[in-house]
Amino acid sequence: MNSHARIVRLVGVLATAALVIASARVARASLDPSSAKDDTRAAMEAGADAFCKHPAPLTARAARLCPHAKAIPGCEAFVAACDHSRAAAGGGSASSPSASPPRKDPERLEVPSAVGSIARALLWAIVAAAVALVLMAIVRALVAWRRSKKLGDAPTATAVDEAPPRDAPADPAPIVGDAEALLARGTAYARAGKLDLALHAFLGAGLRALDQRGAIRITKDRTNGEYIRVCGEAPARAPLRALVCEVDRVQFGGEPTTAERVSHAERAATALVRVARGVSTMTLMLLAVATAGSLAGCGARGQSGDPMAGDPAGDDLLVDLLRRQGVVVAPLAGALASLPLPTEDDTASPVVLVDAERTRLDEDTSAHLARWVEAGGVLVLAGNVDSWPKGLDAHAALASEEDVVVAWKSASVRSTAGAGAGAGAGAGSGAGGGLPCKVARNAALDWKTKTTPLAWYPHGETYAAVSVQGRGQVLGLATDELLTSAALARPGNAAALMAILYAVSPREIRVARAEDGIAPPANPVSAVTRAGLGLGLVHALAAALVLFVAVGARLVRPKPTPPPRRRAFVEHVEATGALYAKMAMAPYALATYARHVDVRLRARMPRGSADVPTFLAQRTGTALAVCEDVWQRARSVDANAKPRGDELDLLKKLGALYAAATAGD
Amino acid sequence: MDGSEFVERYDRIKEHIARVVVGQSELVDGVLVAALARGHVLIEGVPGLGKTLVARTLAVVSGTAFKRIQFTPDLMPSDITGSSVLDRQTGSFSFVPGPIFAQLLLADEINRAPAKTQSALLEAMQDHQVTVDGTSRPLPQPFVVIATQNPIESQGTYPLPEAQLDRFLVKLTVLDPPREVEHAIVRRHADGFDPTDLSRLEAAVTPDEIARMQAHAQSVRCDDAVIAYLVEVVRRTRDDRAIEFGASPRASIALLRTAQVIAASHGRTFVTPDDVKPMFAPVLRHRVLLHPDAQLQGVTPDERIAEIVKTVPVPRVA
Repeated sequence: MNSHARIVRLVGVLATAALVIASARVARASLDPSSAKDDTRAAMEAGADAFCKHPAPLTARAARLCPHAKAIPGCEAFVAACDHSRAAAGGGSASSPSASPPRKDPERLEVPSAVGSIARALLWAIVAAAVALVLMAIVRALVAWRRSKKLGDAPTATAVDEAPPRDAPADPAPIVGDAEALLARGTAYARAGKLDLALHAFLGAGLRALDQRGAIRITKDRTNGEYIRVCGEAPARAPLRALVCEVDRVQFGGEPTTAERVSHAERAATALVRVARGVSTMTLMLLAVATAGSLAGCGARGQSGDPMAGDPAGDDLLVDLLRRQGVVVAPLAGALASLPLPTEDDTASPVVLVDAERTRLDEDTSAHLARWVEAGGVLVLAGNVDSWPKGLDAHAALASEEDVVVAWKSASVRSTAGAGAGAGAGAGSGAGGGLPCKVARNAALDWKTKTTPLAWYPHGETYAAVSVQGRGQVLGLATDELLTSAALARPGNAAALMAILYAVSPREIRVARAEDGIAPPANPVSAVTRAGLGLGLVHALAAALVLFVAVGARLVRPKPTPPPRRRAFVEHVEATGALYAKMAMAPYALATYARHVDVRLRARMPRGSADVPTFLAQRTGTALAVCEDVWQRARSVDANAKPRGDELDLLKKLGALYAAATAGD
Repeated sequence: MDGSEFVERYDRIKEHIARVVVGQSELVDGVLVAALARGHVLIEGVPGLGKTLVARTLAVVSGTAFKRIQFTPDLMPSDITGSSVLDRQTGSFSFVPGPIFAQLLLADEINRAPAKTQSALLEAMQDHQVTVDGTSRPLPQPFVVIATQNPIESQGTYPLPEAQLDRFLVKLTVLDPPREVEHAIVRRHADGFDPTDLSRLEAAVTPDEIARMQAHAQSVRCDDAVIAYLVEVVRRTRDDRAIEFGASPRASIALLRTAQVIAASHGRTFVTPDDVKPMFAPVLRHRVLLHPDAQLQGVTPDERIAEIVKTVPVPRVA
């Protein structure tokens, strides 16, 4: 009993849940094919008929929509444009424009291609300039670093407050602080009437500003004229020359410091100090203007100035119609490949509409879209079936006719749809009715996976179908023309499209733009590579390397070759002594030194004298016996004999005697 | 003469010289500065670089009396100064002036004569007079000696004595011209230029104007800070370990004189350190005697002077 009651209760709960879900789906589905006709008319009256009244020169894609032109009421201008396009194409049949595409309009197509070439050249120039700027900055930084390293702790710059003594040039104290601070100090001095100090503060400010920008390098041995000559900023030379001229006249010319002179110096210093700020401000302004311009260019679609406003292949009417049907329509915020995967709790994610003939899908994007659908996303794909993600297993096929029937079971719609709607109704609706629709191209879907057909041709070829993929759905259309203004404006087509889209019950649709099919690059290099500039990037890097080696290395100051290290005399003597000690050559050293002393002393002795010990005793005041003993032992030593042990002591004594004897010479 | 007149004449002289001498602007400037500073010039360089041509051209352009002495190993002092010669008719000695009695004297290849002959110029260069047989004879004004010499390493040359070198205000070194300048020189000769014929070259100034320019240059103001700067550099040549004998106070005076001329040539009435700095090497390079060790290490006077100049702060703030 209890189990029966439990089963009954469970069935009741499930039934209630199914009812709630069903009612929820009905509540979400705001699309109403029955009102599509009125909405289309209203949208056309509201300005979406620009393609009818003022069609833009027809592109190839728009020309393929010409078969719809005569069926649209009040669309004579579009008809005329189609006739003109057909005539320009050489009399091709309007009914089969795809067989003979319209000739390219020179104003519409050829000029942009020329502009593209110019833009490409401009881009290359910008890339080259950027590389050159970066290279220049690197080289200048390198040079500055080398100079700084060479200068070491040498004091730089000039003093402002303290005057050096006049009798001898002292090392100028370094310029401390920022150039702006020095400029402000100069201004303060000028206001206080300290004109001399003001003048020199302005000179210091100007030099410091140039030094900070790397245009000069302040050192104590450089003259003002040298700063002018070596200044790396050509525009800064004139104000620097004017500033130096004023200072020199006062400092070296003995001319009085006048307020006018200080004013001139202040103007020159200000020009030197604030030129960089002015340049950067101007650069920022230009960047801001460029950014604003590009932002204004984005998202301006559909506005009065948009050239797509009158495009029969545009989606203005679709957007307007969907909005009138209560659907929120907006362009996709980013690339398709960056769509966030829906979570299980995410039941209200927007439907994404992709016109595959306008938005080319790359491999990464296709793979991501497949994952996104599997995770619960709802995707509407139209046209160019062969480019759809491979996992969908959909292929393009041909149909024999251009009439399409869309499954729909609403009696009210059936009654307004008129005749010809029921030809293929039994193929899929099973509800005994359908909405007729007319397409210009008889393309069909050959979808291998299990799908639910939504629209088909009279002979059963599928035009639109919906497929469940994992937790998501894909609604596919064989062509994208029902998304275009020209096809939607044809009576009956708008209701058919609404009936097709009803299958996915959209409350919010995100429309992919042409560029959204490309996955965003992972890094700047891949961005440049994708833009077709990979080879150019390689060339630019190679050129930068060559430039650096050719110019940058040359700009670096050569490192002075250190003089060869010379062994000091003391080192030489110590090394010789160590050698003698190692070789046990003390007798040899003593004998050699004694012979040297003998030669030198005999050269000093009076002519006719030959008694060295006596000469030593007289010169040094040492006892004759001591001198005779030392001399006898030193001269009698055998250079090749074994050391006795007293040689070095004897050598020291002899050396002392010799040094004392020759001290007065 | 005021500053603008000085500049106008200075530029005119340079423009006239440039009609004959291609390139060698530093040499021309150096010679002109030294001449206007009442100094003498020693030009060193290998043969064929235009040293003699510059001197001859300056003589023509300045309108001064020009004499040239080709110094040879057998040249005697009396060949330069002149000598007293017995007049057979009167039975007395009369003085026959030598080629030194000129306003611009070119002593070509001065180091090919021995030191005794070279020294015959000492009195003339210092005191602008010549003493022969006890009689001093003044030289015409302005008096400028431009001596040329081949590098000391050349064969058959005698080094100038230090006392003689000190008399030269500047020593200029002539280097090989750049390729394009050499091309222009050859092109000019191919077009018929004859360096021996300067007859078509006209004088830009008169000797009197040269004298006035010299006087004006000497009146240019030189601040004490600048004097202290140049004196400090000269004094440091005496303390430098690589220099055995530094420059004399005459070098300081020479620096002052040359700087005054440079300042005047820029139209200024005062000297700045910028006027002094480029003259350190020309004024000092022949006045310093390097230590033998430094010579063995390949150090040159110019390198040592440049190093010394780097150690002396430039007067920048009063």
